[in-house]
Amino acid sequence: MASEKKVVFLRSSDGEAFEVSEEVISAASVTIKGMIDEESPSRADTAATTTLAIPNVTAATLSRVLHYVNKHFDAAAVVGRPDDYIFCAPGDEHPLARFDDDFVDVDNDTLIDLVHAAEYLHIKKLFDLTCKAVADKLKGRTIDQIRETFGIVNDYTVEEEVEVYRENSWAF
Amino acid sequence: MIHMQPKRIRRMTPVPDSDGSSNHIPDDIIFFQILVLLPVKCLVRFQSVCKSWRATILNTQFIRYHLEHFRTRLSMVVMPRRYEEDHKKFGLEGVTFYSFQPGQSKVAELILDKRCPRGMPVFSMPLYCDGLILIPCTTGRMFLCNPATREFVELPRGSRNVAGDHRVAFGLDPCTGKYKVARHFFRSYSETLQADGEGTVLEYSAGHEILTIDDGLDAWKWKATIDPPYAINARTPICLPGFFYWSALRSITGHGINKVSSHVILRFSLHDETFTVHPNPPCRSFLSNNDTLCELGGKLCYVHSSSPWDVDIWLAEDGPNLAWLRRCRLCLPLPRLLTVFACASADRDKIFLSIDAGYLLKCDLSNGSLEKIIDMADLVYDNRDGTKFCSGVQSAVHYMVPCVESLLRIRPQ
Repeated sequence: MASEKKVVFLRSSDGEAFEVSEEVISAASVTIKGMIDEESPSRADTAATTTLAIPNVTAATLSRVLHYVNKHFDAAAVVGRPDDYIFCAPGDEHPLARFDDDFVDVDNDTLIDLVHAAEYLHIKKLFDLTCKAVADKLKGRTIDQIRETFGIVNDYTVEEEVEVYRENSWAF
Repeated sequence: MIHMQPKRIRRMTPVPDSDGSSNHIPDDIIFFQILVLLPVKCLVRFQSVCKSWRATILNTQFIRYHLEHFRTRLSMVVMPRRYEEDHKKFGLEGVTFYSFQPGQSKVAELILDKRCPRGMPVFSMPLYCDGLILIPCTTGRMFLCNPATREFVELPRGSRNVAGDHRVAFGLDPCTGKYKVARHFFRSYSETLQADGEGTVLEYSAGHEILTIDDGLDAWKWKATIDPPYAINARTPICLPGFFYWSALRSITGHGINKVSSHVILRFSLHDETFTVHPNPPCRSFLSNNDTLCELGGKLCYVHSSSPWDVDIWLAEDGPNLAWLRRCRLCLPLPRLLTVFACASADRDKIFLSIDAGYLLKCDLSNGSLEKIIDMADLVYDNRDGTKFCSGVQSAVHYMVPCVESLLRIRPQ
């Protein structure tokens, strides 16, 4: 069959399974490629499809990750369908720049979940993109907002905090 | 091995929101993948978040990592000052640092206005390394500044120098990871006519000393090295990894109109603190005080200006001996008065040339073509408080050095 393409299923921490092309996900995720390679000897003689458990990633996050992966790593989608470039505005650095901007334009928790997922799945491009997005969000935040974002407890005494502030007051 | 039939669900479009799980990102990702992307001013502010953030932001390893991230984001720092004929008589109120993107903008924006309560002496060509700028004054005093963190420190005075000209070298010693400043000085110096009236007798005693920017025991003290084998002359030296390159006078023959000076390059190794002697480029015409040493793409560069209109750019392949190659011969669109400085740009084949620190050109080394960037007299200095100025026809010097943003500290914490 011409359309026969190997697929794998990824099962999220909350039990949902997602289908994705084996070739695409292998190109994207070092972690999943490793899992597939481990499984392959036992798969050679069976038509059954592999399901891989992704215990650290929720369905909501995993679906976002796969959306990204299909956009960035599916050669057929990128090369074969010029319509996809409606995302691309003149002056964009690369065809998917606009897509990437929209992709990370999400709330804090979602973004932090994506950082975790990209790190766990070892998808470097996505990891870099999401880290950069977190950094951009931090730039304008107040100290209290930063503590809230990362769940950090202020361990300065009042005197110490005043002293550190005084030393760096020009940067506020 | 699991071979179960999966639920066939295809949901490839993003779902509105996660279930609000706010797992916290591990510290090493926060610090070394996220915070490292932030500009210095942000990180200075974020020291207030908690003790471990402050400790990390001040940590040497983090600072180096941050520097490497920002190294590609090069901009120019311009330090304008009035031109004074008599350096000793007039002082300055301080020094101002402006950031400038040559070729992209005709406006330089204030980064730091550093006023010294008791004034500061007139300074000459500043030196730079990893976001630190060393400002040598003509009286021998010197200041080290990180414009991004606003740290501004006067370095201790070195040994007495009987000669009027002061030059200092500044750079990183890759062996120790420490930043070092070197200066030369004369204990005595005289040029007298030979008894037969035919030549010049040069008598001098020259010294050389080093100061390490560090919190160790030897830091912040000038430490004498071996004396230089020849008299170092007043040409701003260059630092390449592990070495300072000084210009020196080997000999003088004849006198008056027939006086011929012979110059060499002294390479001082920061590792073993010894000098080696190297030739200047084999230019056909005499080397002069109008020539400059520069650094281009990690190589030593000699800018030879045989006449106010002519400039030759020589580059040296480093090795046991400097192998000089003439990279480019140029004819300036306006005559230089004193010197032409070369400085790398983001583009490998293109360099900036600054004529008398007042007129900026871009030069394509592959074909020698020149493009005017700006007459610095027209550069708009924006003080970011609503005031702007141009130096205009007033005599001013606009020193420009490439600079990256860095968190490097000058004083020990």
